[in-house]
Amino acid sequence: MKALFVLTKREFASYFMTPVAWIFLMIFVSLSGLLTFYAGDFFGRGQADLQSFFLFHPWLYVFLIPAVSMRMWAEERRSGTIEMLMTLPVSTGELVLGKFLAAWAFVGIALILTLPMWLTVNYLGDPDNGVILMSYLASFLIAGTFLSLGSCVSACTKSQIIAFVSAMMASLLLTFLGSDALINLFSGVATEKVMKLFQSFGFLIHFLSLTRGVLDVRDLLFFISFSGVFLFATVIVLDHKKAV
Amino acid sequence: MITLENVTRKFGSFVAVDNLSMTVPKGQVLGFLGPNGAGKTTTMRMISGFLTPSAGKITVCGYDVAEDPVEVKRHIGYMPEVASSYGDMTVLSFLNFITEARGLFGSAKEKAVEKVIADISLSNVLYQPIDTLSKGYKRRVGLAQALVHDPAVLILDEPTEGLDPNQKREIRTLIRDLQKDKSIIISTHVLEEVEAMCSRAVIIDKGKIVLDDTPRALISLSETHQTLFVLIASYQRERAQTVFNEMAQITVTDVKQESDEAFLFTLIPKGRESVTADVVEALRRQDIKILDMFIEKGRLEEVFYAFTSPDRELKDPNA
Repeated sequence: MKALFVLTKREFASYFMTPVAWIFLMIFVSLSGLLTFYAGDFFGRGQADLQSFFLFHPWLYVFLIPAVSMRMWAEERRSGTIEMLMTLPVSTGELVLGKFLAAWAFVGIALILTLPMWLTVNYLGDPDNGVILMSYLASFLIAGTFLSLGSCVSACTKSQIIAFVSAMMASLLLTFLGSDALINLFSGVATEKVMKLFQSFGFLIHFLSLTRGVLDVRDLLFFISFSGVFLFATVIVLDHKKAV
Repeated sequence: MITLENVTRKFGSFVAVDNLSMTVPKGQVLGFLGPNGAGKTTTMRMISGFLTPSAGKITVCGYDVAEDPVEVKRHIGYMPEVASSYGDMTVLSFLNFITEARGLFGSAKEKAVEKVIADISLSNVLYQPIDTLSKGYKRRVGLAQALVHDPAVLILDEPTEGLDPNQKREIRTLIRDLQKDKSIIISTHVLEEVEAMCSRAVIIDKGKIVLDDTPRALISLSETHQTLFVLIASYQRERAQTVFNEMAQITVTDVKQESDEAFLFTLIPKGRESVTADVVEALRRQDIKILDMFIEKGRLEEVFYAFTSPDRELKDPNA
């Protein structure tokens, strides 16, 4: 446990040693704000809630989370520091979890920096703060799932660029799985049952149901188990590919 | 204490380490030699738990690397050949990180870090990012992270590479000091280093051990081992030549005029034994004055070449 904390602490600090971290925070906070006001028509809706704010989070994550996760393992493998890291007396699982928790905490900071949005709606009206809290939780969860996916992709390559693009494409696909556009595209080809199955794997559906304030344990489990699977896959990939 | 039993490692169809067995007891410094690609780094990576063997068994301090990798790693200090530290961290924060990751906290951590900083002389660069350090200092930081927890087993992959002669000397002294209660494996290309700090030298080639002995014994395999150089005054040259010709146990391979007054004879013993006493005695009996004399101990380099060069099969079918 102590080792896990040490690893997480170092990884977390390492984010702030590169400009990527500051750029990420800046872009996330400003884009999430801009999208809410312009694309989400925050004022026009005339509602005291943050629906139009959270609606865009998965799409922001699709592009921004891979920028956080690309470095995780690809850089360790490219520079060779993975050899030093993996001869420390800690298990591969602890290493994977340490890096993941650090990245997740970092994204958590980005979310905390958006709290002025919450203050704004509370100043302007009387929103349901329970729903907002749930939405923040949902956003944090989906970010974690994207990160675990990115961690796995990053472990597969020595190139950060490849890690970035692949993670983005995979995230995009998983987000789209639940969208109407994809359903319509395949409706002629696949049976309804297959489509339903696909849809149940879509990130967006589970996310939206949480942001509406419906606390369904299945949605929570969906994101948690997805993250678990990707992190476990990261361990397997690392043990298999670390020296190649 | 390190034991390797019939260890093999393959990468695809390429066999990097081929059925290798050896034991390194406590107190031994093993110099690991071999051409690039011979399997040195692969072997060291397997001992340190970074790579798993395709076949065979490795134990470190009684723990099986395959079954109990974390416990093995606890007892090993490992310095990889490349990138043994995080470049964006300062020396101090990096050493603190490694020490904590190795399970030392509070005053135990501070003591360990302080000691290693003093031992490796890093106090000048503590607050510098490792990326900005010279190559020599980077190697030293790599060595420091391997030593900070005072491990029973040290695996150092080319520890003195890129260091200047003074730094090399410091590292050698340090390793000699560490030797008595540790098992140490050092890979190196600097052969004089093996003579200077190792109690055992193992030469591997194509994943197999080709020679395993003390550095001194290996040197004696050198072609020039026990070659005698004798300096004789010019006016006694003819008589000396006759004396040497009469001696059955030596061959004169070279006579060279060193100056107006002196000639240098190169004598190679026909056997592998020293002929120094015989030569001195024979010359004294004839009243021939020896102006100077020295004995070639042989060179590890020659042995290394003889046993690992690609064309060795042509030269020596028994090798």
